[in-house]
Amino acid sequence: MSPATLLLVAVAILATPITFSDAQRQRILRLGPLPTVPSDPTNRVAGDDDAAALGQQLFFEPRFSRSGSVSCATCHDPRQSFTDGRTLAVGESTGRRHSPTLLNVAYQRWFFWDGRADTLWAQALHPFESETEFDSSRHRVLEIVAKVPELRAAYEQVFGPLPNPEACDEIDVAFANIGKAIAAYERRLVTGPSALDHFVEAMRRGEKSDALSAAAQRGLQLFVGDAQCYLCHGGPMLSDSEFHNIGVPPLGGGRSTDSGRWDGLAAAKINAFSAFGPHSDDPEGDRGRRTRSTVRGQHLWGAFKTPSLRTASVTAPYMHQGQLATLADVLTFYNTLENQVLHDHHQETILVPLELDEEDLADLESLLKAATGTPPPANLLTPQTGHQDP
Amino acid sequence: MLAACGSSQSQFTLELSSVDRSLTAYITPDPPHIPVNDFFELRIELVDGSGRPIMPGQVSLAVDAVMPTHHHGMMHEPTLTIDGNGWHVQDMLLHMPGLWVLSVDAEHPDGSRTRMQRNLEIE
Repeated sequence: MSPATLLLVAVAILATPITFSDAQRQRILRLGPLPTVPSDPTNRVAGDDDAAALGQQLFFEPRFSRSGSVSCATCHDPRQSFTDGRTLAVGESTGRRHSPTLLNVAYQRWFFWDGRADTLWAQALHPFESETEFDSSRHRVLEIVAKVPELRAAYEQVFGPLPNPEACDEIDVAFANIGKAIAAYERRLVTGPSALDHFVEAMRRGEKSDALSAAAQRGLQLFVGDAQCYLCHGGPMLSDSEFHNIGVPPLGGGRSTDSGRWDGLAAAKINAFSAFGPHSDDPEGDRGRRTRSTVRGQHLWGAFKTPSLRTASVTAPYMHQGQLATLADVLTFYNTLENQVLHDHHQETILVPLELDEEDLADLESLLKAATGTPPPANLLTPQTGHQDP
Repeated sequence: MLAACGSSQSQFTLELSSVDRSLTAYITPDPPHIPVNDFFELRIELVDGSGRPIMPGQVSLAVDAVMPTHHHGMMHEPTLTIDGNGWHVQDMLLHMPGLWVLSVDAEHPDGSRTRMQRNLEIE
């Protein structure tokens, strides 16, 4: 066959419309769109505009930190899709894990790589008193809020007067309020529809769509077919929001000593700022009950939360320590499982090398790029002073 | 989703029997189609081998589900409460698609246990 003929045959193959099986279609239809942001009964100001405006101010405020130079935006930089582009987070010092994005964080079931926070407002409080992040204290946080006129005014507009700094129980209530305001802001960081979403919606209507390129469609067929990515990366968030140990080698090599979800779950169950704790606005509700009922099984050792793939193309590097620099590296890891670190019975047992060819891997990468939605509104991406309409 | 098999109980009721068919559990999921990775609830009623109802005071129940090919179970321990002549189960979550084995264990006053189970293919 001549080169010209080979080229024509290749073009014909690549241009052939993708036909999805019924099972594949059913899995595809579950991939989108993102539903309405779920409510959070544990946070009574979750949907409050004034609380979100306060939270936006707090998010960008560096004076809470020991050095006065670290804010939430340091590790969750809006210019970098609310992550920081580093392997390990760097606040007042270097942390032990990679900063996950805050885009679409309101859809998460657990927070942090190890799920040690069961609500978004509980997560927002951890960094203040973490030595590597803010290296600060709740007292300092509230002291700053009390001293900065615009923060004090915004706080008291939502929550009433600041507490007596000598009263520990009042301090904790106010500290919880700080977390709730930050969470109210972060809940609004939702990406717009992606090309994948448009394709899924057309499929739901029974229409053909060119929202996805041929390569991305082939990638989608692998995703819900032979590659079986959907097993853990299914649903509208392209994540099951649960925890798996896939044996990614730790940064620096060797065996992993990070217990991940094993200790994270234990921490979530004793957190004073949990969904079932005294500062929750719905301590007897579903969220708190589910935290208490979560099973701490052996399979959780070394397990980390399945990240959403909705922002995968803009949140490099990847995995809990940023061990994998590019999407291609991630796909190569799954394709070969080379250097996978096994811990006897603790790791995920369903992973096998995909053994796909280079073209298939490129198609999967095309799909992941097409799964990324548009950024949140611009007014959410910068510090705001005073009340602003979201 | 899994559409529950039809039975005399309702259109969306699963039937789980013990190996010796001494006990059968009729399970009605809510929502009717068991979702993947979304919390759902169950209503359970028990009958003996003759079809006579077993009341909650006669046995205590435990509900569980595992994925045998994945070597793990549910991430949550379901909460059971007595609801009239049956049981109400909250916080069921089958977080991955695939084959699950749903089991209902009845503990009798003498300490013996009867297991009722069936396979569920969740997509």
